[in-house]
Amino acid sequence: MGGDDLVVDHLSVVFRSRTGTHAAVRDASFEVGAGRMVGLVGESGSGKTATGLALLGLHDPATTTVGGRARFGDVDLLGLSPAAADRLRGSAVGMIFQDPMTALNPLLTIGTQVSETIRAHEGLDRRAARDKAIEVLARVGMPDPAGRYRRYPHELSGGLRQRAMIAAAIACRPRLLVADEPTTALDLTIQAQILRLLRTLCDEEGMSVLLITHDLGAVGAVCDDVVTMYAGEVVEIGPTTRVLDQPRHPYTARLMAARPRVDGWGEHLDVIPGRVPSPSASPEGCLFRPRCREARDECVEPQKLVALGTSRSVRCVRAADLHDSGVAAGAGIR
Amino acid sequence: MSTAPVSVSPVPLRPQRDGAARPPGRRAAAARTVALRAGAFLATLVMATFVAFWLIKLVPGDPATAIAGENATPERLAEIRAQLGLDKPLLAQYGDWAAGVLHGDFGTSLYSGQSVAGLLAQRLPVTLSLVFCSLLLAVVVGVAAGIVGAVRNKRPEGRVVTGAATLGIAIPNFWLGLVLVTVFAIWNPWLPATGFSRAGDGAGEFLRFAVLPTLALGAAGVAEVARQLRGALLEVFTADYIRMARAKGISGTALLVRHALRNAGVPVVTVLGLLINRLVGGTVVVEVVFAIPGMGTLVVDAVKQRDYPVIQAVVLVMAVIVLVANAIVEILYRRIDPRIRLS
Repeated sequence: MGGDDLVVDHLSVVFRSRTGTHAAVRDASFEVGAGRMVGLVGESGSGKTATGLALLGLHDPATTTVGGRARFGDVDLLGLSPAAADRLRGSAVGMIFQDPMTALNPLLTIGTQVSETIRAHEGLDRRAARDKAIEVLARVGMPDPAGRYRRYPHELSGGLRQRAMIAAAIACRPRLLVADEPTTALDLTIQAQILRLLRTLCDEEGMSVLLITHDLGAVGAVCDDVVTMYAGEVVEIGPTTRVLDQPRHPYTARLMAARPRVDGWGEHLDVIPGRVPSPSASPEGCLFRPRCREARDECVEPQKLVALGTSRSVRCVRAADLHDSGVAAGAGIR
Repeated sequence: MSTAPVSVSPVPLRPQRDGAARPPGRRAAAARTVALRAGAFLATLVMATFVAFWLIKLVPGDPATAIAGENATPERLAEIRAQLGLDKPLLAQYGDWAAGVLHGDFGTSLYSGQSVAGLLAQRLPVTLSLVFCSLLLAVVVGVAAGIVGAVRNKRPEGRVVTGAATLGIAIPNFWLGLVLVTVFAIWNPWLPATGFSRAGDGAGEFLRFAVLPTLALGAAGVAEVARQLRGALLEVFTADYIRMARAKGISGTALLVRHALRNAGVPVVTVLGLLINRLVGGTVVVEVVFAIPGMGTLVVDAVKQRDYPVIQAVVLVMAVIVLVANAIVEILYRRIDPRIRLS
């Protein structure tokens, strides 16, 4: 089993522009165990998507520098030649995106877009690829897969479009799927269906999933582990149940508290004041310090990701005492 | 131009279900669309020819003077006018002409006495071949240059394409024609400066005559197609579906042709429609520069001589060419983009 772990090691992603460089991801290290589903959470601008794109080599090399290491099984993801990366993408590693309306080609049928993955990697002829694509569409829960094969994206509902995109991504049974906000563009009941589908693929086919999302509810529902990112840094890692029940990093705790809740009608929504600092104006020490209620003098020092027990790590000097005093007063959601 | 109000679908709204079987009204809707388009087509022809008829009558001078000479007596002029039907009201004159056309009779030239249909038969192939060659040049070279400009954007090749395209759009065709004649026919007598090959002269001879006028007429088209395609491709390259295709392992030619070019083709096809209109108009100038016996020179002479039947016939034929070309473009457009087929 252990052969297909994704191990991300000191990953950095730096965008260069005329005005200078800025680090979207700094020194990020985390793992996605084989067959596990890991939620990568954080606000917009926290570097989640940049991480996902860099892992698949889909960043623009003209403007982006990726550093560090990322290993999937025995493949060095960041050291691949362009041709090797093309062979890997769609076969061993897949990715799906936020908005299936824009991520599916509007001029090609659903079937073409699923079968082209198969034809690119398995060298099947048109008919064999078609039969297989219809099977894949059935596998992702597409009703009437043979009929939908000939439909165009605009002829499908949002949920079915997302299923079609998932089908195109998993047609060759990749062992890792990076899902970048796959439910954000969908309405709530459909969100749950898509999350369940991803979980099923994970359980039944042993596929690992890195679920990039800002929706902690989604993470709580389906993920085994959570990685929280803030301003390009990984700030907390741990098993979902433990992280969401007892967040050790104040940022994770505040994210939990900022979730609108069904039982909270009329209550004040506990938003996090301020915004993610722009990389050019990063505060000294802990990046979350200016927005943190728990900030103390020692937070001015740079923070390290520190292991807390066997399976958790937190980038907060106060993680230990906050646990006792209960940062997570507002947590305990799930 | 899709000005006909056909976007309102007569298909009754059905419960929104994905990819349900084709609604039964689809065929009827298509038939309705075709009928409306055909109506618009005819209406445009009537408008174009009538406006041309009316405009030319506004211009001072008349064919009676041209035929009888400056010194003719007023009685003689009136006689000629009556003979030609020029003394009737404008609408009646137009009606006579239109009735003739509907019976396949374009009349005779007031000046040479030749049948207008015969003149068209001589001149039309020349102009059509010139327009076709220029269009072919614009598509083939324009598409190739547009791809280079987009794929090699920000590299020397790409910059050359962008610069050349800007220049190509700015240069007027008559000036380019004169320069081409000076360089390739006078300084270096490689190609004929004027004229056009006659039918049956063979392909080599045809090309020898056609090269310079085709370049003069088509250069702006090449530039326009290249610029438009480059811009469209650069935009398409940043699209989510290109990233998704790459995430599936699609790369190289498959990515460029199946995903990028098809999508970038939609705005380029629109440009092609406008380009055909401009090429047809441009033949008038280019044929005069190269002294080519086509529709352009025919209509210029006819206007000078107030040769109404000839002017009318040329206007009609050019309008038909433009309308047919635009209809083809629209069909192409619908073939490329499935979202348009439905509306």
